[in-house]
This record gives sequence, structure tokens and C-alpha cells, in this order.
Amino acid sequence: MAKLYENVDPVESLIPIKPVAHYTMGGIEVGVESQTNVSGLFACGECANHNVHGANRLGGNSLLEIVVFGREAGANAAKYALTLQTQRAQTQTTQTLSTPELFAFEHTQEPELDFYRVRDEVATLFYEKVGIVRTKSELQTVQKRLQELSESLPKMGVSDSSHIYNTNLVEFLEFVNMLEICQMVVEAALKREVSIGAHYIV
Amino acid sequence: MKISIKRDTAFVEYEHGLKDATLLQVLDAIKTQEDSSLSFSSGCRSCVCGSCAVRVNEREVLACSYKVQEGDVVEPLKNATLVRDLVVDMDRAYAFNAKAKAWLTNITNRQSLTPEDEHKNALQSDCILCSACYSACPVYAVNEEFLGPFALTRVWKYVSDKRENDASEKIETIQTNGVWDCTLCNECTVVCPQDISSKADIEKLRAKSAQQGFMDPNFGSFGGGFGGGFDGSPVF
Repeated sequence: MAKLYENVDPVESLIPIKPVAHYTMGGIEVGVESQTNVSGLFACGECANHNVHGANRLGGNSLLEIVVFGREAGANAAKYALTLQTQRAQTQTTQTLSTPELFAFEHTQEPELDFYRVRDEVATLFYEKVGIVRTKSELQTVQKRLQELSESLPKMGVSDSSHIYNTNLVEFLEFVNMLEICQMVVEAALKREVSIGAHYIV
Repeated sequence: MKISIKRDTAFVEYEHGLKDATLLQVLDAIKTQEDSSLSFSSGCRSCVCGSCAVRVNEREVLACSYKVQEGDVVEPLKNATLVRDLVVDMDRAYAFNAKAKAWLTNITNRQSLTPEDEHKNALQSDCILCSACYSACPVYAVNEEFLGPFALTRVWKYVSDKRENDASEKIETIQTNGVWDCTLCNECTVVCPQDISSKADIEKLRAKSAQQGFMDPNFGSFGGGFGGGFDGSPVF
């Protein structure tokens, strides 16, 4: 692994050890049946919040998500499906692109701002300022920058106009969501003034 | 460093400045810096999920565990419908798991498993469905209905599972377009990123088939095959 991903031969030199974002605590609110507030939509795993981890998910406990709640969500989804009276016929549907973020997709012009570069910037900002040790002033700096970036979203967009397996589009949509989540993370971190669990503020 | 990537209709050459990089890192760099329309599948980026299998110089690899070399030629997997660039539709391939009935059929309740029992098919359980073996298999050139390497490995996994009470239905299912259609060429073993040998699993399934009274339809009339298998297992 060290050779493959870090180009470090552990026979010759030390293996670098560094922190990474490994897991997201919190997520979509679900009830005891793993159902979200959208009827018939179930969630489990890292995307969901089953309120079991507290302020820090301890090592190995992500297994709980799949072993317990994966089973629960699956069984309850099956139960729910059986209560449905009608069976919808399988039809080919074409999604209409209507959200403002997708405006760019309809345009043939190259986007003014490259969202991949902005994504890199956000990643670096988070690694350096919203990571293991947080300070109020640094969090505020990031908050301000995120606000600016989110205001310049209309200048970003998709370059690939294909309607087949368009990962450029998918990555852009993910980026738009990511930016929103980032703002929520920073806002929550600023509101939590004392250190708790994985949140360490000085 | 130059590499050549098969786009929808033709090969396109790309130049990149990454050193000692995996193919996936290079594909990512091309997509995010040079040509955002380049399409490929990937997931975990660390050899766990099996989403990024492609062919490099006509050999199946996981893009995330292959170090790019000068002049590499990158293509999508074979034996599957092309969706776009390096992305193929694997639905038909995955359907063979169901066709081969690769699951526990008659479960013995409360059967405890010792570590030795688990060890018996631990290797087969490591399959990540990357489909490298499926792409490398030459049998599909002559028989599109062949159950194929990963599905047959999965059948062996459940046939050898101590909790399976009666595997006869599974053995019966793999008599047609199954174990006897394999040429034992070993290509699947060579390309497997998990070091699974479907060829060896197929040989074990052949032996099980013989025990259940089935015969190789190709050699049956000659009164028994060509002697021993490569790994010492009997060929009937």
C-alpha cells in the first residue's frame, strides 16, 4: 500500500502517517425503523443519523450501521413495499433538468469558473482549517470564503454536454451539495463553543 | 508521459506529468484538468470495490492499483456492452450469478462454523465482482451463455459451505453452459486482483459433478478423460 499510493518503500524509509476525513457523523434523520421523513424512503449507514455514535464514532462502530441498521432498513423497506396496493409499471423516464445549478448544463459555453479547481480549494481549506484542531477565527475565515464561492456558483457548470454516463455532471451536482454541507459543518462548528468528541476547538 | 485511451470510436493520446502514478490518478487528472468528457468508473480508489477494472495493453487491471507506464494503451473491458469510453454495462455479466444459483439453497440451521470451515472458501468470498475474469475469458467468443468464471467461483463458494445441506441443485444447474464449457486456459486466474483462481474452482466443481454422476459431455463417450487435472484433482 505504501509503495502503491505514497511511493514510499517501507524497507528504505518511514511510512507517512497523516489524518484524513474518514467518516461523517450525523446525517439524514431517521426513526427507529430507519425511515426518513419521506414516507417509503429508508436510510442507513454513513448517510443516516441513527443517533448511536454521539460526538465521535469509535473505531469499528461503523459495522453497527450495516449489521444492525442495514438489516433493519432492508426488512422495513420490504415490509413497506408489501403494503403498497398498486404496482407501478416500469417505464423509461427522462429527467428534466430544471434546478438553477443545472442551467449551465443547457449552455454550450465553457463555464467561467472551473469547479474542479474550486473543489480542490475547499478540500485544502477544510484539511487545514476545519480539521483536527479548530479555532474560531479560522472557522470564520472559511465561512466567509464558502459564502463567496457559493455566490459564484452560477459561474461554474458542466463542460460535458453528453446525456450518457455524464460523470462531469454528477461530479458537479455532488460539488454543489458538498458546498452546502461544508457551510453547515462550519456553522455547526462555530456554534459549538466547547470541545466535544471529534470536535476540538481552541 | 503519453498514454492512449480508447474513447467511443477511436484512441486518443493524452500527455500527463504525473510520476509513479496509478492509472486512476492519471484518469482523474485528465478529467479534471484536460478533458472533462472522459468517462470511467471508479469508487474506493484503494483496491476494495472493483469498480475501475479496465484493460491496459490487452490485460485486465484495476485502474487504482496499476502504475502507469509510458505508451500504455487503455481500453474498456471485453464481453460487455460499451456505455461510454471506458464504462461498460455489467448487468448481463452479473445476471450469471443468479442463473448459476450462486446462493445457499438448503440452509442447515444452527450449524456452527469453525475457523477451518471459514477458511475453506475464504478466498472465494474475496471476489469484488470487478469482472476482470469475465473480460479475459475466451469462452465468450464461442458461447455467450457461459456462466463464466466469477459466477462459477461463487457457486463453489456455496457448494463448499458447511451450512449448505444439499448442493445437488446447484451442481445440476452448472452442467449446461457451465463447468464443462471452460477450457481451463487459466486467463481468469492471471488477471484476478484478489488472487482467486476460478479455473481451480471450476475443476473442483467438475470433481463434485462427477461424484454426483455427471460426466463431461465432450469426453464422456470415450470412457473417461485425459487423466489428472493440473492441480492434481481428478478429471472424469
